[in-house]
Amino acid sequence: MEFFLQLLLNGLVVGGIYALVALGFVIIYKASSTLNFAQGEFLMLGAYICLAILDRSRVPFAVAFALTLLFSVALGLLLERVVLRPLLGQPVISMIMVTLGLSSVLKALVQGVWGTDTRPFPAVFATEPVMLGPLPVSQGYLWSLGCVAVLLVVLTAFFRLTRLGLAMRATSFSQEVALSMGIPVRRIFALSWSIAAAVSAAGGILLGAMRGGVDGSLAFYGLKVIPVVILGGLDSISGAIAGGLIIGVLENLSGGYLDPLVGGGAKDVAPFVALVLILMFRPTGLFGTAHARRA
Amino acid sequence: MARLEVNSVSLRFGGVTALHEVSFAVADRELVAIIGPNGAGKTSLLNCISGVYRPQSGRVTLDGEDLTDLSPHQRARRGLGRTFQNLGLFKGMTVLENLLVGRHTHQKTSVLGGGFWFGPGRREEAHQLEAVLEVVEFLELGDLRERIVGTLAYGLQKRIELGRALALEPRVLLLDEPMAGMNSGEKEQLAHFILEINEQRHTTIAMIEHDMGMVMNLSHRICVLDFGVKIAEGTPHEIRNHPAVQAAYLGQPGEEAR
Repeated sequence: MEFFLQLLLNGLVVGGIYALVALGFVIIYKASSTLNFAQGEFLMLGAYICLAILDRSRVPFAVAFALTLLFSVALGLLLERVVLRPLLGQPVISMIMVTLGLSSVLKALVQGVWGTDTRPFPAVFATEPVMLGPLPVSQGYLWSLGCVAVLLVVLTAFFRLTRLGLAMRATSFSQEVALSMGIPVRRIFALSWSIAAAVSAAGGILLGAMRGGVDGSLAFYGLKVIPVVILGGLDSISGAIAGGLIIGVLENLSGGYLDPLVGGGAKDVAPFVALVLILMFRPTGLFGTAHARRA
Repeated sequence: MARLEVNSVSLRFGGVTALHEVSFAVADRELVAIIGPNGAGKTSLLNCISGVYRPQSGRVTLDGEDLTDLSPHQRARRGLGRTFQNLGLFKGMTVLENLLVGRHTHQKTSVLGGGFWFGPGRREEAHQLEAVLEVVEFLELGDLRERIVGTLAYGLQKRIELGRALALEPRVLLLDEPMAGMNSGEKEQLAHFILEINEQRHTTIAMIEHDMGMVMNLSHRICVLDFGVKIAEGTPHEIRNHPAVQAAYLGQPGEEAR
């Protein structure tokens, strides 16, 4: 039982971070129907930037965290303006190819500046575990869960309650109609890239802090999130959150129970097996919008 | 000076001429209908006014201000509200949310302030909600305000879309077939709302509509398009007896069936 709870908790912690990154994916998809394959690089870059701030100055972790988010917002605005806006009106596949290119460029940039070795991340969370009932839990996990929960609630409230959130939802429904309501659609695109970059960076920082080190492998989280968004439905915010948690838990449970039986690797395969099964029954994902369409 | 003025607008798609030197004007508080057979260019004209299409030549002005080089959202900001022929509602949102999107241009908080739910942003939201609720009351949508729009009857959706355009407090309201697909009871009801918008809320309206009975009853003036050319303009009475209009709708006397 304790083993199960431990796996479940690990799954929720990692799944929460998947959910954040998946949310970035969904936001961009909803606004501009583009898949952003540089999402994982946003995550990695966020971790490195936060590390650089912590290394160079004596600011507390929370300040470095906030500064990194600000940096990511600026990065999102810049990328939208310089890289993506010239492609407006081009086929979606061109946009997708550009995000693939962007991921290579960002990866190379990070390796050029910080090298390819794993860099230690300062211990920002206290190391002694907290007892939750019988279960010893690392404080980093609890902080991470807390941060993710806060971010998810804030973002959901943003979409539900604020004028800009409403404008973003309107834009994702129809650009033409949104324009006729006086919504500057291009600015909404820029905003969606900023939010996507910022939530990914938050995920990267939390991962870096929990693992105690930052390296290029963080970028793989971008790919791991693809089954999450497809599972949840590419255009559903709540789907991204649910999908992230499901995949995180599934991964850890199958790692814990199946790996000893099959000799390892179940952790990496399980999400994709689940993905195939779910897509067989719900081709638009768990929460995605079904579209009637001629073949 | 006319409130809305379209000045010899020409629009071509490749070799096809959708509009040829079309001019017309709508005075303040006037209700002008744009009619014509299918494919006459009515929606193209509306799209040139709202900015979805950029005509190759000609100008569009609102209260003397040249709109021709502005994008659709800038025109909305200057007071052009519109509805769409095939409903442009946000179907997954509630009635209230749809109308709140219509208030977008009236919300003044900055990009950052607009993202938060407290302080000036919050007072602002309350004020917008009031404006929206007034429109909800006016269009008798009170009971439906928390309903998801996509689940409602078609006639109601048409009325909600009208409400969303109205929430923008437009100087000119552009309606693209507001009554298409409605039954006669729904048409009657919508006609009553359109009249009230025009007479009591003093909103200037340009409207495309196919139902001739409604057009004749509601409009002050009528502008007739055929094959992208304006063939007639005048009061309902003048249009009814206009030979070119009769020809466009019924065919030329003596002309072979095409």
